[in-house]
Amino acid sequence: MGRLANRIGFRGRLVTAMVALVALVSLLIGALLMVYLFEDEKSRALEQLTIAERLTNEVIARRTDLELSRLNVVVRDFGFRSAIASRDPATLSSALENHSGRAGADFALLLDQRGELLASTLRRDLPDIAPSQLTNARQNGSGRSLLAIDQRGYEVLTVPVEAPGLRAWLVAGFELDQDLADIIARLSGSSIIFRTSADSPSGFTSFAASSDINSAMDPALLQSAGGHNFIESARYFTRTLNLGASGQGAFEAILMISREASLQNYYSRALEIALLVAAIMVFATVLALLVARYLGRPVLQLAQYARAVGQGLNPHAPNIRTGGELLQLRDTLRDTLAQLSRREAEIRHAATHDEVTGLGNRNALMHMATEGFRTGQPCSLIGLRVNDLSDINDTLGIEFGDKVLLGLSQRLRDELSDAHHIARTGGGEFLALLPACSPEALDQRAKDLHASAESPLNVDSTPFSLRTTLISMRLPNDASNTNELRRRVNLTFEQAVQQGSAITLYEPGQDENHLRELKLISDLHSAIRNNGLHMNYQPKLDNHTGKLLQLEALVRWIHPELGFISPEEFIFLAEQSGQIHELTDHILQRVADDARAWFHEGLDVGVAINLSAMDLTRPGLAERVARTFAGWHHSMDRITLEVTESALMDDPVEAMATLNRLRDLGVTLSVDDFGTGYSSLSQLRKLPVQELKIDKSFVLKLNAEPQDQLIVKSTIDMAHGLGLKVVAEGIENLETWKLLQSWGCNVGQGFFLSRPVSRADLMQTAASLLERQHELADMSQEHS
Amino acid sequence: MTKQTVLLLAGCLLFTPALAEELTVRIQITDGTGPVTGALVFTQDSSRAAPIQTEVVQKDRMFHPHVLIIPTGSKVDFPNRDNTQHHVYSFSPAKPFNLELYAGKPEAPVVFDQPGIVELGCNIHDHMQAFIVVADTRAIGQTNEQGEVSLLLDFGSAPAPGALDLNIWHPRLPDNTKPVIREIDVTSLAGVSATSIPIELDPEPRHDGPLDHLQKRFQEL
Repeated sequence: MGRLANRIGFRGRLVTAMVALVALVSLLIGALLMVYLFEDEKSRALEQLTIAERLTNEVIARRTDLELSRLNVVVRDFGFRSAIASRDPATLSSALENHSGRAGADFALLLDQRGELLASTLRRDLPDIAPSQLTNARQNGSGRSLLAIDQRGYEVLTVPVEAPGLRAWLVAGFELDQDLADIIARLSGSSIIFRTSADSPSGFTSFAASSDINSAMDPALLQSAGGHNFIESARYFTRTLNLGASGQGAFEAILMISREASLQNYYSRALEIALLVAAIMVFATVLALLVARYLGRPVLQLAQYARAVGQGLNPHAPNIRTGGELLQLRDTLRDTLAQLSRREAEIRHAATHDEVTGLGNRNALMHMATEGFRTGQPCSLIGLRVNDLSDINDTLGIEFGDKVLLGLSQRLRDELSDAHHIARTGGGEFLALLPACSPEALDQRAKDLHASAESPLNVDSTPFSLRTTLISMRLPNDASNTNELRRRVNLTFEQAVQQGSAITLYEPGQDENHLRELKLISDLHSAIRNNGLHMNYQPKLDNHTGKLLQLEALVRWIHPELGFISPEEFIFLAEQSGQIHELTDHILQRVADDARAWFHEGLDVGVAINLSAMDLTRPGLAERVARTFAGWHHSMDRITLEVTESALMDDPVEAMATLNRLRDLGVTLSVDDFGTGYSSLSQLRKLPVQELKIDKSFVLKLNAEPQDQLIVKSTIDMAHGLGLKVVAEGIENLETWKLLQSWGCNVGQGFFLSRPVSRADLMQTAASLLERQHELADMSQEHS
Repeated sequence: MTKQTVLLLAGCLLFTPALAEELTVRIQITDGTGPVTGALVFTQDSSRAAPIQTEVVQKDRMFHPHVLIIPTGSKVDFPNRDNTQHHVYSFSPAKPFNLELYAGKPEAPVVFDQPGIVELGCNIHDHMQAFIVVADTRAIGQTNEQGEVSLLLDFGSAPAPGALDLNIWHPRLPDNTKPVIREIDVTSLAGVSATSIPIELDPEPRHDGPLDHLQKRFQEL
């Protein structure tokens, strides 16, 4: 039901309701009309019968009057009176016949004063004329009675013949015949039957009827008893009229109106009403459709209007002719639209503009850039970062910072007046899209902008200078979509900061490296988890005896797609991405496991493990090492942890604390890559280290470089002076090995001795080194 | 139609056993409350009246007098004093006659030689009516306004009968072609007493003049 109602809609419901209402009302009116019409027809018929009754009385009375007048003329006729006076029977009879014929009587009798018959036109016995009738006639001037003779009804009139005294009586009979019935029927519009109970003891006999009635066809009319005013008949409305009685019996006239004829009228009216109702319903339907259309159209217009509003168009409000609620709705919609538009504009402005400077924001710029990429329109991009905005905000307040930004943005506007778009894309970062130009011109513009941005700015009447970093890119050469753009802008800014240059151009490929790094960072994680890293071990030999002392654990990563990844690269990335601790722990565990394994295989060597600078700032490192190497099969000092010189110098205090804790474990601490950093010797003196590892850059060509020889020899001496052992790495040849040997270096390491080897090759390497021990050992000492 | 019963109060006010006896009769309408004026009362005694010659004039389309009493054998002229002709006739058995349309005076008078009531009419003026009462006796009279009439009875040498037939006639009798006959006991009339005999009388016709005023004026022109 509800679904149907929904489907037919407002207009449909309106039409249905109106048509139903009209149908109801018309059917009701129609039905009432039919009922009333039926009653009306009936009462009209009865009314007509009443009129017919009066009319019948009147017609008969007038006929009687007319007959009396005629008879009076006859009885005043001198000749007639003379004939009566003559007393001659033949004369009387012929005069009677003649004169009654003049009066139109159907029969006539002449009686003397005493009522004795003088003459008659009838060939049968005279009807019974009562003496009282004559007396009445004498008193009233005439007498009237009804008689039935030979199945016919007569009105019998008696008038005196005076000359001038009473000489005789003239009795004349006028038949109540079909002519009379027809006259009455014609005048009254009803049918009439005359009947009498005379001569028929059982009931009535009809003796005349109007010609439209075949009385024989409806015997019920004749058989019904008298005394009832109405005769029940299936075919007629009837009324019985008593015409009078004689000694013979009653005379009646029956007035009838055909039910069929009356109701025929009624039926034709009913048909007309039905047609009228149908016409009204059609008309109402059409009207309802028109009205619904008229009423529904504004609603549809409003619906379309609302839809258009919803689609974000800005349509004109429909012109609604009907007033009232719909107009109100239209106005409300229009106002809502206006408010929506305003709010949307505000939101859009807020979404695309920076509230401090009024410039566009990152979204707006990216949108512009997207448009540019879509159309392929080349353009240039200049980015500007205020280097120390947070310092300004911290020291001078955010309000001041905002004023600085505002002043700067004005300068940007002035300087880059031809910019497609200038946006503040971050705290102190501005990006501007400029028309495409040559790299030289772009560089020049960047320089001009830099100069303008760094010239003193008047903020609150105070000259204020900014330091800024600028970058520039050429689109779409340097970036072909917004992701690249965003990434490369950042990359370039970072690069600029790293390089400390005021203006930096994006160099193609930088971003690809960046992406590779990102991939490595993400893959490193899984590599650590899934044992995707390999451990190689490089032997460290006693420089004096050539004996294998330690194996330096070196981590290697063969990336499934990118192949060999240098440890420097992925360790750096691990440090950058915060995975270095995880990596260190992993390496510690691997090394510990491997060391235990080779110990059980009979290899008696210590291990050296490199620590990252960041490991030193990790408070839990010592505990970690202790846990990993718990139950170590050697003394702990055969575990050497190598730390780069620079790592120690970044945060000496924290590093010192960590080193002390490690030292407490008993492990040997070594300063890796010694000589490349800015080592403070005073610091070095305080460090709890036992070993210095001279950087291989000094060792690789030691045999040929006198300066290196000087440095290395001095370092060895100094280290020994400080009580530290010295390790030299990067020994490429026997000469170097021997030189170091001669200088008292404690431990040596390098390709000349052995490349880093995998865990599997370890036993073989150890065996071959054992074979070379004799060659490597210090013969001089042996000999001495 | 209303019926009026007229009581004839016949009372012998005075009875004289001599040759001439006077009989006074009063006729009244009992229920109509009033005497009957102009009723004719006569009886057959032994007196005879001598014939006379008189006339019934037609004037203003009326007969004058309306009721004429004449002895048997009298001659009556019917002079016409109207400016229209008249056709005077009678179908009464006592004297049928017919004076066809005439003006002025007919050539000869009509002789009424039999007693009886003779109704006169005019064939072209139906309303014109008059009566001539032809009587053998002198004992005839018309009631006065009190409905009384006195008859002088003359029985001659014969002794006075015990009963007497009184003929009473009035133009408004239901059958005015003959008198009604009432027998009264004369012997009982010795005292001053009365007997009543009911007879019927037609009601008086409406007193429309035979001519209305305009017609009269027209006639006089």
